[in-house]
Amino acid sequence: MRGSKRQKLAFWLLGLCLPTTGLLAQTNDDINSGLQFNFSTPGARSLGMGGAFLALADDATAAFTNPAGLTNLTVGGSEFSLELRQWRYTNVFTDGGHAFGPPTGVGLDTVEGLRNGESDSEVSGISFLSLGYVLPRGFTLAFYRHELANFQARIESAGAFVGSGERGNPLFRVFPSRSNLNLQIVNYGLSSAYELPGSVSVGAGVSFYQLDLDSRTERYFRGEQDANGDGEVNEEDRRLSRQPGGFFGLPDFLGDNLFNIQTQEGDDTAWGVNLGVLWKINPLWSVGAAYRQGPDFDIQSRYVYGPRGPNPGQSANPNLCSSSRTQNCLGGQGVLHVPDVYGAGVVWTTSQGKTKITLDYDRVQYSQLTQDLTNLLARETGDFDRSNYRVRDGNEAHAGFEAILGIGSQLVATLRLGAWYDPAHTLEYIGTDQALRARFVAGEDAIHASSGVGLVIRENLQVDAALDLSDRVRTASISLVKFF
Amino acid sequence: MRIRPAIFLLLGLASSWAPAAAQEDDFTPLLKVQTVMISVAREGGGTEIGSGIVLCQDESQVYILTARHVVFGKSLISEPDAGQVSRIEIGLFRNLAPPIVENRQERVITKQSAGKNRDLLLLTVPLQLVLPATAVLSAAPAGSEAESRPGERQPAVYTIGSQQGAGKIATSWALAEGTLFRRDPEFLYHTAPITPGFSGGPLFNESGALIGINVEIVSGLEVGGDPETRYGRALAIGPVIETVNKWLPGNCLHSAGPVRELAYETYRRAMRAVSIKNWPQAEALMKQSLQHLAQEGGTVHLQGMRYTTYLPRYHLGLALYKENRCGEALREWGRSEVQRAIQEDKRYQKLKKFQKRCVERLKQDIQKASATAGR
Repeated sequence: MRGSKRQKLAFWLLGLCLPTTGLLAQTNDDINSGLQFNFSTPGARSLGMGGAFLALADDATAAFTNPAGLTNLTVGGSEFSLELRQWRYTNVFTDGGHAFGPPTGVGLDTVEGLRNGESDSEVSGISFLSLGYVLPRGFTLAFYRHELANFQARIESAGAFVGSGERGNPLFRVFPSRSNLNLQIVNYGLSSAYELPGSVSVGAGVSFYQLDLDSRTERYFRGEQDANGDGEVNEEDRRLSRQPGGFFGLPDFLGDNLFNIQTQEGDDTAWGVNLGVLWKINPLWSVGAAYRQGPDFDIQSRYVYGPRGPNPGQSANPNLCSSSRTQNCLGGQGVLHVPDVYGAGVVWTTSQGKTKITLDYDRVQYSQLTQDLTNLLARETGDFDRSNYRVRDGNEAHAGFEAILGIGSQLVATLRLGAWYDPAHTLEYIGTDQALRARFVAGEDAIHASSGVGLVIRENLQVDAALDLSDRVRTASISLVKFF
Repeated sequence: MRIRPAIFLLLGLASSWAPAAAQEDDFTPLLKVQTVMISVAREGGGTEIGSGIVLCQDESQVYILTARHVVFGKSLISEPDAGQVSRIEIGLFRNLAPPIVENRQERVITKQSAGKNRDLLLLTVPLQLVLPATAVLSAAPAGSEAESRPGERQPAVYTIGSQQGAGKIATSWALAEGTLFRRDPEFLYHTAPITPGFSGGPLFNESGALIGINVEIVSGLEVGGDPETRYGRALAIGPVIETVNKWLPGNCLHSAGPVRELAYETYRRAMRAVSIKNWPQAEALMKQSLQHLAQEGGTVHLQGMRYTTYLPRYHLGLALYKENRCGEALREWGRSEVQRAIQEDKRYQKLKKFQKRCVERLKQDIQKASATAGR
């Protein structure tokens, strides 16, 4: 971790907010074009309620979501919790088709408009582990381990066609590519909370984040329209270009046809803080708000020509990008900036306490991902302009419902329902380069629906299970909470 | 789901904080609605009146507690003889439902459970109507659980009973106010001016919680009071519950009531004090909970998904133990064991462990005191 981050942390701990400093960000690697994953909040209970938990925050998962909620433990006592999650991602990316011009009808170039491909990936693991502890004088502490992100993706694109072939709008085909990415961000956190007079609780936490990032994009050569290079496109060229590896042909993914490789690697640690406040206005109404600072990780990116490239083993540009050099460079050292999140929520509880309705609003600063984008495309080396790339900040809306189905002396059963709005947040190219516009396309908004059940057994063990479904992500969770 | 009229909820809440000088208009409807009038006709033409208290209610039945002699006469030696009773009429306050009438032609009362050694009778009666309130139990008059001492302000008590109208049947409810004069483990003695129609009726503390069942009127000579004064004698709620608990369905005594909600809310705060080890505060709040609801048992929602059993006596004992007041702690744990809810709870093991430690500690204290005295 760099020294400036330590200073930043110190200021946060003092309750001061430093202005956002310029940081490098992720790259315009192809793999980043199709990804849309979320930085998850923990808890099967929260998941079943659509993630609307800021004003509820009444278990140890509050340590991450809204640390002020930890004061709730003073009523119930200490607890240990464990959560297992499984994520199934459907990654949507540009696989082919023809944009900014009509298809020629030759070889693969027969589809009008961009064609999306989809790939599925699945990861699972212990996503949350915590110990919430009540101290004398009303302070509460929670230690936890949380998987902020656990993501895998594998995509394979045949390469889209762009342009009409007319003057000023040349016909071009994006190089076919294969990409994979593994990303895991784990944080080890310590949060504390205290209840002030007036039923207002405040909480703060500090997290030590670990990044493990590994991505590789292989771009394969495809021939030109003038396949034999005689300066004109004739029948012979059309025949040759329809063959595998040709301009209109199927991709040739053999090793000796590898044109270049783009890699991103990150093995870094960083610190972050989170702050929260919770006000129990009366037994029926509570409001909460929280801020979560995303960590900044150093990452390395690299561009290397393959056997079919002009200089195998060499980069297309010897200059590596850095914090002081962002133009006329390729790859180098950058920073992955996990977005900051701030939000507010409200919960309404019926007078009998058996039904709860929660609403949250979260502002996710996804735009931070592109604040200092590093160029990793050879075609952009000369005129790379960071402002041509964007990820819009997201306004998430979460709604949740929880109802106690029955209370027995040995068992309490609960049903939960929820939904949330997940705005598009893929990397989008908005410049004039048609090939890049075809590759970096804005994602789509998504609606998640969730449901869950919970059982409290013999007063000291809680078991929760939940599902969260959307077009692109399906999350299943089961958690165990042991009360002391 | 039972929806109780808001007016009674408000009345109930008001009653929870009602001062000793509460006015009838704002306090007694809640007490009266729990009280029933009982008129009993016997073979040979005699008619007697008495009262009863609705202890609790489940989906289809109400459980009315009265004195056994109200229905079966004064003799506690002979077995109850239902054959002597020709008609029983039970009236509800403000005619919330038509009177419940049982006679030789029509048996309505599904079960009568009579105490063998105590003057108690539980009537189980079908009733679809959901009553606005049922009894809330408390072991003590509000404000004090200690034995009364000379010169000390005596806690106020209230009692409701039937008044006899024309035709020797009970026709209205009467309120009598007084103070608690004396108490022993079995009985409470009070100065509220009661008449025979109050027999089997409830004795309430200042908060409107049931603390006893009137069974007799005694002279001052019998109880060491003013010879010219007649005192009411009521079976204390502890022995009452000990007798009737086995006749009631499991959760019946914990059925809804505004004072119960107040007790649970106080208990939540008390549990927070326990959790953060603020023992003086825990002691005070547990005592407050007990004033609202003395009977242990029932499920309390603490927060989030945390539920617990209502065990104020156990936790009061724990707080006292932590404050090195073992004698008092042992007394509270003993009371908790009598109520039997603790035996069903995981904390019972702890109670036994702490009891043992307390006994050891007391033994050591006695040995030290003896050694000091011997020097």
